[in-house]
Amino acid sequence: MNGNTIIVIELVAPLAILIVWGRLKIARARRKAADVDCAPVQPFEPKLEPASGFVLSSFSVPQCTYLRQQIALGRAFYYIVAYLLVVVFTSGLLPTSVDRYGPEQPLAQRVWYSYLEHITLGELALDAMMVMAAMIAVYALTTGAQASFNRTRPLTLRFLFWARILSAIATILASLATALAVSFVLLLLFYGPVWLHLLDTFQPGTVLSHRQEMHLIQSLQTSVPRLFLSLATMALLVFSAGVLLLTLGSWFPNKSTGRGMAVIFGLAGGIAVVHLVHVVRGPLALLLSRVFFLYMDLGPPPRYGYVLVPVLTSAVLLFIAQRLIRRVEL
Amino acid sequence: MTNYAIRTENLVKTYGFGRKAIRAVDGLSLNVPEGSIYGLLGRNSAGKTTTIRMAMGLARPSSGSIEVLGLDPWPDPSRVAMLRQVAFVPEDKANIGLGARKLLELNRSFYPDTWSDALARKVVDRLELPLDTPFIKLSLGNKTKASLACAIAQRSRLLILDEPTTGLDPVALDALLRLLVEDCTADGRTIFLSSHQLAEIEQIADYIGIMDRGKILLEGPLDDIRASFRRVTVSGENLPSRGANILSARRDAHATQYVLRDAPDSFSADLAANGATILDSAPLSLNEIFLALCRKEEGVTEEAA
Repeated sequence: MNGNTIIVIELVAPLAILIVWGRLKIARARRKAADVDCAPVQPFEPKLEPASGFVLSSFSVPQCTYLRQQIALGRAFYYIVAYLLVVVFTSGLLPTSVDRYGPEQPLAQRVWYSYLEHITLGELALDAMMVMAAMIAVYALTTGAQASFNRTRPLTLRFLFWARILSAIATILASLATALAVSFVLLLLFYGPVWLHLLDTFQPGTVLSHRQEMHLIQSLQTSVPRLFLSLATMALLVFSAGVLLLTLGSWFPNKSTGRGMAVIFGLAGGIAVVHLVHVVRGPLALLLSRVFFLYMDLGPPPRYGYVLVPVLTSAVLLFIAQRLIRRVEL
Repeated sequence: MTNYAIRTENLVKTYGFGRKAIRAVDGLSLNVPEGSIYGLLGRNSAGKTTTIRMAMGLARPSSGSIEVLGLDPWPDPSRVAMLRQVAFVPEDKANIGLGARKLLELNRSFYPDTWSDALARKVVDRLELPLDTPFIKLSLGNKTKASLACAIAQRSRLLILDEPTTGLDPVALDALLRLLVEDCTADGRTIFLSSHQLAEIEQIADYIGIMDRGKILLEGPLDDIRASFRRVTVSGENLPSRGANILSARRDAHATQYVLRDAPDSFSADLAANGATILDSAPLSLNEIFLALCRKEEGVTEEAA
């Protein structure tokens, strides 16, 4: 079985399981509803409010209720995103992926290079998920029955916005950290600490092909913590930009047109940035990728100090979105 | 001095720009006295839902002003102060995809200070709301009942109901009307409801506002409104067909039938003094008043066009 088939199975299998599980749940709900029609109606006896933990104790009861809703939603989203990211990040550990980097290279080099490269490729999948997350976050405050419900509860729009956005960010970071940790553990389980053995097979005077040389140099130069950090900051940046664009789109009299335009502009902008950094590779692209801590190619890492740029930019984008969302009408 | 639960002055809401601009609400001045049951009536696209959305802080007035319980419903924190005291049933009864029990439990948590479990049970019982039916199996009527149960059990100072009778059968409708009168107007609480169901509104409302094309055509206590409209059938020569208080005049072979507003008795007396014979004088139902006003407004608009 080749690597692509395994990835497809990994992606499709849970979906199939979810569909089957969903159908079973609906069937069970229907059976239950049929029983309810026959059985005497249980009176409305509300459950006791769950005790507020340390984190929620400083909030009012309505605020806690809303936060609990966000946490429950975040939990569901966490499992989905973490699973998809694990699939993407571990795809570099499949034998077919590892062998793509040339049988002439030592296994440790091939595995490590393949693993790191698939993590950088995972950025695209992560970005797509961040756009989805931004949509889910913004729509619940700007569109339909859910927004109407949320915005008629006794909570400030600022609280509605930040509770939703911060729980989404926490979910994103938690799922990313989980996926990276799982992929790293799988790397250790199947191949061991390969990064410690990159130079093991080299004898003084060994002649390397150009490709081997490049792979080895890039593998040695790559900073894993900064690669992981770059994934997190990039996800945050895409999410924040998505939230701002979709909020701007909600300002249009025709929201679906406005959002459609926001998505088109967002995609065009994203493609332009990727093209600039990956294809043009000029001085501007280099500067852009360093300043924004975009670590999309293996090799020398950007400085840690630059991590503040995407974080602060995201904060500014979200702050603007929060100011704008207060003026969005339903 | 009368306190108003909702008060608007020259309220305007425009959607779109330039040629495509639509005035959904056009200079609306509304006064909803506290403690009343106020029925806002109007045809489709009259501007009722837009008015309610502005009252709930979901839409911003283009011009004019709106106050709900003395608070501006658009900016925070006055919006939140207002929402603490207002229960709302929206036009779209889809709610948030929850079954009735879960929806009630969720709402209970949002309004811990005013919520009444006993009242929730009473509403569930009276409306025969199935608590454990999954959301996907809830009919439109049951979704409406679930929204109503949440709003009523909230025991707020002001209950805003946008088309609260959607999908309800006559039995449930009757139960709802009794609930509104018995349990929702105590302690000076106010009910503001919009509807097309004139007959039902007539049973419970003590104040009426009739809207058409974004404007208020008529507003006041229902009894006063009823008293100020009459259908008068007259026979005689040279009867007027237009006048300040003539809403419509229909001539047939033997008589002329007038629908009159404002001082119909003095109009009849004037006609009688001029030799006409008053054959009949009867009060109008709310439905007839509504139709007469809307037709008159249509005629005015067509003439203006």
